[in-house]
Amino acid sequence: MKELDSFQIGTQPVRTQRIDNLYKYVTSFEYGICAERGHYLTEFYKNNMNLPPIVRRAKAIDYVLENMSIYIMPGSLFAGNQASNPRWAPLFPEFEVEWLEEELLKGNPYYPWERPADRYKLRDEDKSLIKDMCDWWRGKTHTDTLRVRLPKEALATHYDLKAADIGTYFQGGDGHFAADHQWLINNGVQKIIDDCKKYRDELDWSEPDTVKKKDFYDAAIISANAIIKYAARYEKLAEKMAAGETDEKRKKELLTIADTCRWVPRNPARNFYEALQFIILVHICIQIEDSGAGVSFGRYDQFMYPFYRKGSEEGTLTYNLAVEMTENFFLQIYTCNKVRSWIDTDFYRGVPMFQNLTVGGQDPVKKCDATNELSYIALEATYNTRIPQPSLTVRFHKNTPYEFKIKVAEVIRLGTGLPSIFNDETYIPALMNRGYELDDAYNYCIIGCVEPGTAGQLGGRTGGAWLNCTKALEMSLYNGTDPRTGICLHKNKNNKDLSTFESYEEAKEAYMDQIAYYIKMEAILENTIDQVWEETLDEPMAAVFACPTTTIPRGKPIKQGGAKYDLTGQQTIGTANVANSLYAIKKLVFDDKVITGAQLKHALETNFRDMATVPTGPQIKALCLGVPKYGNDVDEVDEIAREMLAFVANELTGYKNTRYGRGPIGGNLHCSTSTVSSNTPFGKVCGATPDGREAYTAVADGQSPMRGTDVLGPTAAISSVAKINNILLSCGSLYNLKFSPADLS
Amino acid sequence: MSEMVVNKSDGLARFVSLIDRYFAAGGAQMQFNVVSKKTLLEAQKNPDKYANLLVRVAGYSAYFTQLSKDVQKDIIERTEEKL
Repeated sequence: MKELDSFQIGTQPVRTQRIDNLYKYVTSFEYGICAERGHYLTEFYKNNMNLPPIVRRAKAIDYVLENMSIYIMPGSLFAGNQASNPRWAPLFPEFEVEWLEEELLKGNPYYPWERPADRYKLRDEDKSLIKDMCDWWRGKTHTDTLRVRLPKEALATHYDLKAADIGTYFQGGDGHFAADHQWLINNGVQKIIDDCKKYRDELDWSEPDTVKKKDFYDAAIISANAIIKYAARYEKLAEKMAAGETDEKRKKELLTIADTCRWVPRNPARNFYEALQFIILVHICIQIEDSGAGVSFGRYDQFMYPFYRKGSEEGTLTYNLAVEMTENFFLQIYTCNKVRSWIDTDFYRGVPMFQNLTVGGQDPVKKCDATNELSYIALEATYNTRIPQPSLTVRFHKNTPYEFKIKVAEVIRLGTGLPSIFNDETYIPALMNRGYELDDAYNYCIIGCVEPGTAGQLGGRTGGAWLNCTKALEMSLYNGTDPRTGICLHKNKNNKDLSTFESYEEAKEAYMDQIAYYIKMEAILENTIDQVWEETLDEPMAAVFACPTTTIPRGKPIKQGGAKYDLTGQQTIGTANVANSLYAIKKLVFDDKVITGAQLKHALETNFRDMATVPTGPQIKALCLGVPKYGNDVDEVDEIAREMLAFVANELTGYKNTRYGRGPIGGNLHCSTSTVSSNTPFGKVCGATPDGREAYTAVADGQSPMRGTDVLGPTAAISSVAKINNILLSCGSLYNLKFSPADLS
Repeated sequence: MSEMVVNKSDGLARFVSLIDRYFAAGGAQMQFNVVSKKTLLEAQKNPDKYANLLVRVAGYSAYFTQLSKDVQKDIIERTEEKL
């Protein structure tokens, strides 16, 4: 039976002809790079450096939207495109041009189309545009400023040691929020314009912050008008295409697109179809303003349900039609893409966009199950489209209907990795622990990978630096020196190393001292990036689409404190390696005294290869591997994992972000165990570790056990992982499990 | 109501009870790959035949054959749990 190897291969999706054609059309495009956005943005900036930064940004994006190529895909019911072709990625030279120049123009280390993986095509004619944008931006970019503004220790932490890596937020935008689609589709963008004008008219020029507020309102109005004009371009295009269309059915569809783009996003959506077109346009404009990944949709089944019910009651919308429209919507947003530098690509393997969409969970007011037909429709759309975007998320709670859980399991069984499942019983208290009000916590959605937040209320960015705990552990064994680079930023407080630690407690204390130092470095990186951003890159579209109900009354974009809640996220990597290594030191060196710290240190330095020692390197590696590992329900080691991760989470929470005390609830950093693909590049900079891991091999992902070391079955594995204090992980928890298809049949 | 028939097979029921168990114990999030090692190794050998094969990397899914070799290796080496 084919399903026993993969249900994805062994089963067929159920698609209408339209969806099947659209799937084939979108996936026929290889990934590519489109220079248009970067080109038009640069052209505008060149001539308008006198404008206030936020107004300049609003007008530059308006100029891009006015001039970029637009298209409507064959058979698609919706309009909206981010670049000149599906799955092509726009460029954002304002963040960094070094890598564009090195890679796109010089092929160092690779031309994007010659990379070993994650390849992107580039049109020859775009190369001169890219050269022009690099020439103009050189010395003026976000990265250029950061190199000057960051202390040298923080730069070394990021560039040399890789104890923390935040390259994404040097080279590109924030993303990582869920727009307030519910407010937008029910109010219309005209409401933003009207409200901003009203607030602007009421400004008192004798107040010192009025200049900044006026800039914000000016920019917000320009941005809101920009999306209305952008929609009008599709109206004209659809009319033109309809005029040349011979198929009467398609002609009618194109005229409907024209009518719809005339109405939304200026006005509130009147039905399910208009709401989807509205959401697509808002989403795409956000993706053009900012290269940040993780721009998410919120609780699709909740904010769309009133439109679904209305259509059903009026007889204009059937279940199957809603499935087709949802699938079309999914394929439409799958056309968005992002290109990263080769170094950053190592952290983001497989071209992810993290456009997350949440279903299931509970009603924020009634506190009861909120699953509805649209929850099932989203699952069905994921089952049928079989594309990596949107990242479907399902919320479970103690009263989730069994039938729904089985349906979720059936979609997971396909093996596309979608959806992932989140536990309300843990996530809701995790958010309340950070100051969320009860109803808001019940209304969380997932943003990006695994990060909870309430759509329309959360600013900051749920993504941030990756924290390389394995690296901090390694440095603690060498009294703070990184054996790979020889750099020492911070000696152990006890001034000892693995050969001189006198107890397990001293080893643990040294690790905690190192990780605390690098968490401080991370806080410096996060806050400096946000400060520089606030001065030059603040985004009016993100402000009014993400948090319209607070940014507009306050007259502040997000980085100035415009959101209801604001927490800076991050990703903590390698918990399993830290726990397993500390436990191996405890057992082998101090409890059982099988080898000395000096012997273990030498084995690590020689990557378990030295045959001249007694025991030999490989024998020491075997001893290390033989010590019980996190993931097998062994309390002693699981306890270390819990304590060490909780320590990181609590240290992070102690650091304020740049919005602290400026309006939002929160205003600090918080912890997640989201990994993306950082465990492989982080492994490449870490030497051998006492858990028996060889030098430069991948570290553990998320809070999962180290791969291959959870050997007692899933019950023992989940028991270990559940011992982690997940409530402290208010920025998200990530646990990977792999099953054989035969087991789920 | 749905074209996708809900099939309450034993495997699915066992799978759901595993999720329930993890969540009852205080777990927060789970994500899954459901693919045999054999399929992944075959996909490495015949990438064209498996061009559409999606897998879960971390907080996202991606086409397996487009992943770099080290990430493919990471996914292949993950423990295949038995329900």
